[in-house]
Amino acid sequence: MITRRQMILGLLSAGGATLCPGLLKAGANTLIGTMSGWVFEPDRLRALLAAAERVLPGVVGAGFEDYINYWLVREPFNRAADWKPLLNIGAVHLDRIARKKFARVFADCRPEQQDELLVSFQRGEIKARRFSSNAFFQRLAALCAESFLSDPKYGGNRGQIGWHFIGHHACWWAPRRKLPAGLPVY
Amino acid sequence: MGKAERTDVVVIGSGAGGAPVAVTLAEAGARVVILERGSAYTIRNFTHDEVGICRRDFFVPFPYPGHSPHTIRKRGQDGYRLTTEGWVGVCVGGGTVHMSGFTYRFKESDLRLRSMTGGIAGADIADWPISMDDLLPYYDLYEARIGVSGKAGVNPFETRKRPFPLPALRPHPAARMVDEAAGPLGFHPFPTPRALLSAPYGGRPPCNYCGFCGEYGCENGAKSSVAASLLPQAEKTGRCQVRPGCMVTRILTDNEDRAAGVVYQDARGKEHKLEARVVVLAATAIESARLLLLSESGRFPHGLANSSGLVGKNLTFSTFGKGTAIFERHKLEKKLGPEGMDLPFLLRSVQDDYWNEKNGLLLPKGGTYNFLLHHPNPINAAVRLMMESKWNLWGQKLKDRLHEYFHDELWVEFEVFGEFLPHSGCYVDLDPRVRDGFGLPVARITNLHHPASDEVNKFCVRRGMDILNAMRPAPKKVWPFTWSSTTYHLQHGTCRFGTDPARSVLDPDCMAHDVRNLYVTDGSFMPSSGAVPATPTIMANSFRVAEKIARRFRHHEIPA
Repeated sequence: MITRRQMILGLLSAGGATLCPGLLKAGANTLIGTMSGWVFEPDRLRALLAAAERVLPGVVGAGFEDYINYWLVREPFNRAADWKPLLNIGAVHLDRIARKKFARVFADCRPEQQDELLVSFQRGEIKARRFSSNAFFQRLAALCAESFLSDPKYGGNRGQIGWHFIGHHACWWAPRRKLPAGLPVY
Repeated sequence: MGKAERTDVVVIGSGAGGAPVAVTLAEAGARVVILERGSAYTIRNFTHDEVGICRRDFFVPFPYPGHSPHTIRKRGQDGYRLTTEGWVGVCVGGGTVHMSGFTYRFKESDLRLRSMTGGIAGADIADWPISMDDLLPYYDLYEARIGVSGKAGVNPFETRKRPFPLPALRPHPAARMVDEAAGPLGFHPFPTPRALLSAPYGGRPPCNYCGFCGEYGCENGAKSSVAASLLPQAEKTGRCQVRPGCMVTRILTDNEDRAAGVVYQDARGKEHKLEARVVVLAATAIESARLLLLSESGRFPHGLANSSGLVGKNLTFSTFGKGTAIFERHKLEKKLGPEGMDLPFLLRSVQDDYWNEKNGLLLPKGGTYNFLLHHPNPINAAVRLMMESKWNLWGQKLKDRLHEYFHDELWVEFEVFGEFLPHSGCYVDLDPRVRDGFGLPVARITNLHHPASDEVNKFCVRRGMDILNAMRPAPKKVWPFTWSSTTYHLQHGTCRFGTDPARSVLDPDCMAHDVRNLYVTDGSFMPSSGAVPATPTIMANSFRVAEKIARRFRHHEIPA
């Protein structure tokens, strides 16, 4: 008997592309934007978003979900060794540990409970076969920083909120928009 | 494969090694075709997109099977892993497009390392078969052709007789603090020469001081990449054609041990044969060695031009060290005033330890200390803050720390460019297991450092830290970022030049000993890495070799 969780984990770790290769290969951002369930199962996504918000407050409102969807469906990044499986399995373990300790899923825990759990992930204290909890934490944290401070064209940094926060003008300074047509080709 | 096309010169690679040869020979009257495996970008492609360009490897191939990975074994690793390391700007203009453009020259101690040290145990160093006098005119030439800014006569260790074509760029006011700290310690800081225009030059506009130089393409053409300078000059002759998206898979030879031309695949995957009177290979030290090894034949069973067995051996990179100091902006403004506090360049270098017999180490040589401000990349800064806190920094603490970093801190750093000694533990060969998208074995890099290189680098980091600690107002924190690592995009040595065919691949004119019309003009020729980035030296040497080839054409020494 295969449980629902095993099936999801199996599918995702084998690469979601086996499920719907055409859709994933197309990598249509607009389509995926409305179909994020294809990238992360809703429960997993909920846990990831809750964790991301604790790692970098404000990152979810700045478009974290759109940002990770953008990269996880795109060739060839969707084939990078650990991204999608790592995030998925990490989300499963977030909920597993939260249920064990606080009798509810991670997203429903109180902020201080979530932080307590995240500390144990960050320190690599969650032991599970073929899963490194600190690698998961580091990947998640790096994606938070990326989505908060990246070019908004990838779905994060909505309204340039991250750039306004750091007051870093050089990021959005884009002379290409001001240059006349007929430029020399370098 | 269609009917073979013919040209005078085919140049493989359009970067620092290829472009000077191409422009010189095209201007001398030869028909030149440059085959470049990467894309041709315009300044419209160059934005401040940190994720796309820096974190998703815009300029280099993806390191996944079916693309073009390298494989690498580094210190402390058992097996070989897929990597992007060892790739340098795969695009028209090569690595010069995304270089920082620190344009130091080599010195006598780089060219005479063996005779000046008497040899280093375990290292395979060799003197260069040419002298500084052979190179000096070509340093002047390359600077004038591409546009380099700097201030002559300040660095007592500099090998130059003429001024820079352009005045030095404007430094951040904190440069004064470096000068005030380094002077009393006995150092001679000088303005770092840069391949960036400080004034209009050759129809190109000056630098706009955005600070996004290293890792990025320049958005207004003020960086003197060969794509902005030499390649347009070559194409203007009407005799030079740059073909992007063209991957050379093999160098062909005839029955007289001469290079007959190349086979390449165009961007659509169609195979072509291009015959040429001269073949110039300039695809980076790693990829040039790979192509020679891939071009084996009955007459060259161990790879083309490899009778010495040295193709791919003696690979050197640049050792790298770095220290960082955090200053509080409000204290700096109190001392230096508000003027110029947003300028992105510090532009100070120190070379007092370049040759240092008093360092008490096996290698009596130091390196170059390049003082600069932390790169303006914001994501890199955030991730670095987290990493250096061992990932303890997250949540509101992270946000507060980011705010502090961007609003009240100035990070002054120094980078060390150190001598990377060639030895048997650092080389490139063909990977027997991994193939690229063309079905060819990929380059496999083995990178172990010679212990003397590490020792020297650590010494250099300590010296740089002395300067950071002496700066006033005092930094609130100073720490070494790394004691000794590797700068992979500075690579050399895999086809070293020399007079003895048994101990070198190329002759002093960078022509293969075994193949009389095959030249290699990237960093492959260098028997020692030097203690500065080698890009200017590669360009100067490429101009030198180009004149040798042109002379052979004029004297009808190259058959039609």
